[in-house]
Formats: sequence, C-alpha cells, structure tokens
Amino acid sequence: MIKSGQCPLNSEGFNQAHWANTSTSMIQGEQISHATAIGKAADLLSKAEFPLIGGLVTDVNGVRSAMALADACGAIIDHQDSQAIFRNTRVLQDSGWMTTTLTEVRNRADLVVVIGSQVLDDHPRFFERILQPKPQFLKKPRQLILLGPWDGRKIPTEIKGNNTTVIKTTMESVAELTAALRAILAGRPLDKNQFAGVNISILNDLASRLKTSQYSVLAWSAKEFDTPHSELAIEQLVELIKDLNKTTRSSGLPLGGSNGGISANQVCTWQSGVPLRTSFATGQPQHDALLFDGQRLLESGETDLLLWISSLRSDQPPPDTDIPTIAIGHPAMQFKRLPEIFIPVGIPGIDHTGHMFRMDNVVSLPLRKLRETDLPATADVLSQITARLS
Amino acid sequence: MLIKLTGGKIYDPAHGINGKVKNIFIRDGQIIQPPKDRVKIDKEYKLNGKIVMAGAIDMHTHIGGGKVNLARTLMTHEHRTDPHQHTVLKRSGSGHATPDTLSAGYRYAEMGYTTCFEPAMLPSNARQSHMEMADTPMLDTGGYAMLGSDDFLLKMLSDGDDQSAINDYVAWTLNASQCIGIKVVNPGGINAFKFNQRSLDVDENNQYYGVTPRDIVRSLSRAIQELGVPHPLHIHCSNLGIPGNFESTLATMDAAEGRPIHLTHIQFHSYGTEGDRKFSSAAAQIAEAVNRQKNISMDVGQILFGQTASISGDNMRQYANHQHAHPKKWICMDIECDAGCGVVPFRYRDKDFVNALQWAIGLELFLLADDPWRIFLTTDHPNGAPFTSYPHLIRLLMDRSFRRDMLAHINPLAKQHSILETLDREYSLYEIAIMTRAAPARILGLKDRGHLARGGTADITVYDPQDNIEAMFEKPLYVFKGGELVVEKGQLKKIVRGKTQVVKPDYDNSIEKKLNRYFNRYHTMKLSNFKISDDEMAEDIGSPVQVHACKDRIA
Repeated sequence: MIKSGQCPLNSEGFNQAHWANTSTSMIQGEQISHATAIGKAADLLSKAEFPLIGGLVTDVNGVRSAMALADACGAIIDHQDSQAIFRNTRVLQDSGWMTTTLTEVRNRADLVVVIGSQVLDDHPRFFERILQPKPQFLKKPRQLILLGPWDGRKIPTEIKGNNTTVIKTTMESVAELTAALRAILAGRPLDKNQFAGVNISILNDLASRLKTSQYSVLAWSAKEFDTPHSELAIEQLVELIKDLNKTTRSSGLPLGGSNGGISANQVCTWQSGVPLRTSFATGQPQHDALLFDGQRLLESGETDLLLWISSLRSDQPPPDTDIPTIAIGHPAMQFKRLPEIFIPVGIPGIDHTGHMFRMDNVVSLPLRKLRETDLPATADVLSQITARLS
Repeated sequence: MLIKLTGGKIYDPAHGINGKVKNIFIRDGQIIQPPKDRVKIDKEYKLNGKIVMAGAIDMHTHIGGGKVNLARTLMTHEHRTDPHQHTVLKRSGSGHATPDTLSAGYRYAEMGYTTCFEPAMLPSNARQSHMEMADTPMLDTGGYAMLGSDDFLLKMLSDGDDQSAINDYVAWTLNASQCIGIKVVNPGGINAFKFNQRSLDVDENNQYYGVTPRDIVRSLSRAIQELGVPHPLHIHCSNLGIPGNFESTLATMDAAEGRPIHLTHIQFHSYGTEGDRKFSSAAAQIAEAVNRQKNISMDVGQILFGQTASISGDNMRQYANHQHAHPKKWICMDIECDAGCGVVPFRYRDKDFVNALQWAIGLELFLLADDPWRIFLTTDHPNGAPFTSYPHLIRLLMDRSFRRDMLAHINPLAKQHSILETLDREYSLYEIAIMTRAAPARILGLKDRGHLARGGTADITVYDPQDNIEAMFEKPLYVFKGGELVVEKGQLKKIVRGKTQVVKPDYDNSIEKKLNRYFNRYHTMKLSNFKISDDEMAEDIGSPVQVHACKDRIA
C-alpha cells in the first residue's frame, strides 16, 4: 500500500494514482497497440505546420525528452502554468534580483513579509515547514507581516499571534504601496496620508522595520499576481529589496511554478539557452514570452496540433480545443474531450524514478519508484516518437 | 576495432615526448602498445607530421548549475541575437557567453577539448549541476564541491571540532555530491555577507562564528591532504577584484602552511594600488611567490575584450561589483545555508584603463610563471571571457608579435603601467600541451587521460599545423573521444556522452549521524535526499560515475 506524506497536494497525487488506470493506448477512444500509437503520433507531428508541446506537467526527464522532440519537429514548447512563471521570469530577464532559498528563510529571516493571501493555498506547508520551526540564527521571535487581500479572508490560526501584523490591501495596490515604501526609505517627501487605502503611519512603521531588521524576506506567489502588468509590481518589490541591501540584508522569495512548471523552465533554459515559450519552428530556439504563450496560441488558432503532456496528475487534461490532440498522460486522465491519441504513461515518483525542482528554484529532489507497472515513462514515450519522426 | 594514427608529431609532456614522430594504436577506446606485425589494422589515419596531443582538459569552467541557468536567463537578450541552428547531428541552441549545455559540449569538442570541470558546485545544487553536465554531450565532466561558507563547517570550526571530524565531513561531501575536488570561494565571506559583513580579509573574523578565512584555508587544505584527495584545495581567494588584493592572495598562500593548494583565476587577485589611478599590476609579486612555493599551482582567468557575464559563488564580491554591470542588471542569491551566487554581466573594453590593465596582468602572469606544470590556461569561463576564445589566448602566448600588435591597441595608460612590452617569452607547443593536458590531468589525479601512452583513454586531438596558431587551435583536424572519431576538420561527426569524474575518499559514518541531526533540525530537505547515489547518476541524471583513486587517508 502506498502512503503519502503530509502535503495535501502530494496526497492528492497519491489518491489519483489509485484511481482506475489504463495502460493501453487509444486512438479516438479505440484501443490500439503502443507501437501504432507512437507511429501515428509521429505522423501527426511530422505533418503539423506549427505544433505546440504543452502541459509539461511531468518530471525533469520528461521535459528533457520533450525538448528533444520539440527541436526535432519544430514545435513550440510551453508549460500550462507558465503565465505565473513569466511574471517572475520577465523581471529576472530585465532587471535581475536578490533572492534566497527555503533553508535560509527558515534559519535567518527575522522579518518575513508575505505578499498576497494565497501562499498557503499554493504552498500548504510553507508556514509549518519554513516559518514556524526555531531558527538557527535568531534569538528573538520572527516577525511576520501579511500584506495582501485578507479582507474577508480568515487568517489561519497557526499564523495568528503577537508577532504577526496584517496589512490589508489588494494585489493591484502592491506596486503603489511598494513604491511608497521605497520613497519613504529614500527620505523623499510624500504628499499623501494614505496610499491604496493604507495609512502612511503603517507604511512608515513597515519601512522602519525593514530597515532595522537583520535579514528580511519578501515572499510572493506569482500566481496570485493575476493583475495587469503585474511584472511591474514584482519589479518594484525587487527594487525595494535592492534598496534595502545598501545598508542591511534583505532577499526575495519568488514563488512561482506549480505542476512541474519550475522543472520545465529550468530544463528548457539549460537545453536551449532560453526559457519556456520558445519556438523551434525555424530550426533554432526563438523565445518570446508573449508570442509563444501556449494558451494564447490555442485560443488564437495559430497552432494546428497539440501534444499535451501531463503525467503527474490525472486532473490536468488537455484544454478543450478543436485542433487534433495527442495526450501523453496519467493513466487515470479525466478527459473533457477524447483526444485523437492517448498514450498512458507512468506517474513520476510512483511508477518510476525521476526529479522535480522545489518551489525555490534551487533544490531538486529525487523521486522514488514505489510500485511495479507496465506503464512506460513519459521520457521514453517522447523519445520513441522522436525516433519515429520522418 | 584497431585504429592506427600513423606518423604524427607527438606532444606528450607526461612522458617527456616533445614533437617526436610516433605511431599511436587504439583499441576498445584505449591507447595500446604497438601490436605485433601481422595484426589487421581496421582503420588508419595517415598523419604525416600533423600535431598530436591528448584531448584538452579545462579544469575550471562554469558550464552547469543553477547559477549558469540564472545567467542564461539574465542574458536572454544576447541569446536572442545568437541562435544556433540545428543540424542532422546537432540540437539547436543559443548564446555566446552563457550557451546552452548542448552547444557548450559541441563547441568544446570542436576545439579539441574532451574533459571539463565545473568549479563551483553547491552541494545543495549538485544534482542540477550534474543534470546540466549530463546534457553537455561530447565531454567527460566533473565538479568541485563548494565548502567554506556552509554553516555546518563554520560551526565545526567555531566549536573547535577535531580535524579528523572535519576530514570526515569533507569526505562525506565529496561522496554525497559526486565531486572530484573541494573548492572554497571567498573563504567564509559568502557566509559573512549573509550576516551583513561587506568585506572579509584573510585574518578578519566572520562576526558570527569568530572564524577567519585563514582558519578555513588551513583546515580545508589539511583535510584534502590527509584524505589523500589528489586535487589540492581549489581556492578563490578573498577580496576578488579589489585594488591591493595581492596581499590577501599572498596571505592565503601563507595560510596553506606549505600544503598543496590551487589558486584559481589568479588574475582577479593580483592587483596593486600604485599609480595615479591607484590600480596597478601585482603580477610580478604573485608570480614570484608561486614560482618560489612549489606547493602552489594557479590558473589565470584571463580576461579578453568583449561582452560576457560573470558567474560566481562569491556573492559578497558580486554584490559589490554590481555597479559595473553591463547591461545594468544583476543577480545575487543566498542559498540553503550552503553558499550563494551572483551573476553580473560585464563588457571588457580595450580602451578602458582598468579592463586593459586586467588583460595585461593576466598575460604577465602567464609569462612570468616559470613552471607550466603549475599554471593553467583558463578564462574562468565565462567570467574573463567565453571558453571559445582559448585559441586566441593561445596565440597571445605563443606569438610575441601578435601580442604586441594587440598591446598597441589597448588603453595607453594601461600599457604604460604594464611590463608586458618587455616580456619576450613565447610559449612552445610543448608548454601549451602541458598547460592544457598533462598538468590538469596530473593535478586532478586523472591517470587515464592527459597523456598518450598505453592505458590512456583514447581522447586525442590532431591539429593541422598552420602559421596562424589561433586558426590551428580553433579547428582541429581530428578529435577522438574514447577512441571514436567525433570531430573532423572542426566539424562534429558523431555525438557521444561522457561520464562524471569523481573521487570517493573514506569517512567515518558517525559524521552522517551528526549531519542527520543537523539537517532534521535546520534544513528543509532530508539528508537522504541530499545525497546523490551512483545509481541515480547513471539512471536518472544520465551520467554514470567514473571513480579516480585517492591516496591512503592518513588522519
């Protein structure tokens, strides 16, 4: 019997592994042999003008093989959740940043500002594993500031307390508040008593705490910055951190990806030199964060074939689209519409070993094999298709 | 399959062979003794006086790991303007200073390099480094694990733990991260920066631990020696880039107390404070000190003019240098109570006084060092320049008139401040073969490569002699990797994959119990997940390990 750890996201993955499984490939719902499915998939990819390899909800080796396939058939490659990743990546590309990782936060951060109110939803064990344990280098308790849309949202009991301050605001206001903080820290005169509904005295207090803390950390989940031009808000945060480092230490903790997005972006970057949202249509990587946004390409109808990879979870099926779809996925995949071809594959960390990157973009963790199945790994299926391309 | 390379001029300094015409025989990927007369030769290459050397070894090049991937992202603008078209053999890629892993492997092989070492592998990021290097085809690879700013070691030193326990920790780290050497970067300085110290000289305390860089260098160099690890402690000295830092470099040499150490990218650590601009060359003092102290080796980290990106574990110094970023964007990271990193793009300009003098200082070091077995040809890729500029650098060393032509173009004040004009030395082919083959193999303990005698791996590069030495080194006639022809006339012929070169010194397992307690208390990953097994290297990471021998552990 497989048992999961205590992470709710992890548990969900384990539950899905127990659902009714298939190990047989299908063409339009009809069972066919694995070899036929591979041949047919290669055929469709060879004939497609502008195929999109999307989803990428898989492990490092799955993405490695997807990259080789994209290069071989001139596809565009993107991850289903790259919208959030690119809110961070575009700032990194344009201005760089100062950031930190989970173990540093746990042991060193005397002041943690969590921007947004969904960090706990996206990273359920962040408080318990990172912020609650006793830090190695701090004598006084860690101060926590929750800055975000907490209006009407209940603050979880485990993070309430004397050392927690809540500053209620909207995600749209983060840029303005951060700009005000930067102005206060720079000693500039301000002509308003409040910014985005927050009183100047609260901002003065926050500025002073940031300045006097030994090692402050500003954490945000890019997913929650679902606002127009959110990269400009993130850039303000990044510049605030740079300002603070002139006299003390401060670091960002940009939390991005979900469903393997970070792993996908890392592999794409080291294998092509550029991040996701890259086209290989001309035989060389062309990266454009707007033009090659997979979701946009599907909506605009510019792509004529979708190869969807989703082996980590059964509830991330291909988006509903009119174009032919090849799904390489979880054996219990719940489809909205039957794809032209479905090739079931093993679940990384259950049916085969592999690697995934952690939320802080630095540490990658090994995944173990927990059961015997006859399901092939995503990487193997993609390599077989690449080998069959004409 | 028996292959014969007939009539080449052999440069094999490991065996004292300097341009003698000899035949080489290859079977099953290895160089063998000449077989008996009647054995059938399957393939013969008639070399008729072509130049034959072992495959080149780059002992210090940043080709894989989290900081390299960050640099690629920061350099997206450059990658957009420098895409590489895929071919029947090659995957596509992009980038000049920070190329993708596949392009790096192809380009190294096309220049006759067959083994490369990533010098700054954070143990917490080792897995990613190994994955990236596994995706760097054509090359055997390896890494140096970074220690010296990790809180675990600093606490051990601060607590006054026994040297033997420190030796165990060092050996454990080499095993767990699958590395071949240990590197210390700005000893204790990356850690001190986390406590908001902005500089740390050799005898200054890390304020939290009360430990000095001298303590760290002494302890780690002793550990390496006592464990019998072949590669001496690889040191990136304190105060990188600061005028007057040559004194810290001399103090670091002193801290080793006569034990073997390797000082890396020493050009960045050979600066004086003389002259109107308070920036001068201290190459003469550094070269003199290294010439005199036989326990010390160095690689240069030559700068060459143009755009590049500097990638370093030394976030204390990278933070301080961010004001020189070109273009104006940069990254600094604190990482996992382990170390850190910083990425700062640079454009070195020949008309700039400081850049021009840096260029001259590197060349002075090359020309003043009297033992080519203890100086290595590096640009600290991509920090001084991308590795693709090695042929140009070799020409600067071998061709005095070319060097003087280049010198005529640099900032005139820098030219005045350098003794380069007066240095007549020209490196010989034999000396280049020492610096780029025989010596790196010897200093890393790689008995199977860097030479052309029986038992060596058949990693062999053949050059067609030309007047322009840069052109010769840019496009070898043939490159063999493990006995297979992989490059012909500078063009890739076959894709091969390499192995990861490691050492596995012994350690007392009680250190793991101590580490396990520490990890459970303070870290955010389990110790069992921190360690990388041989199976994981082979099956999931995709680069099986090849173990090199250590000497017997003595303490």
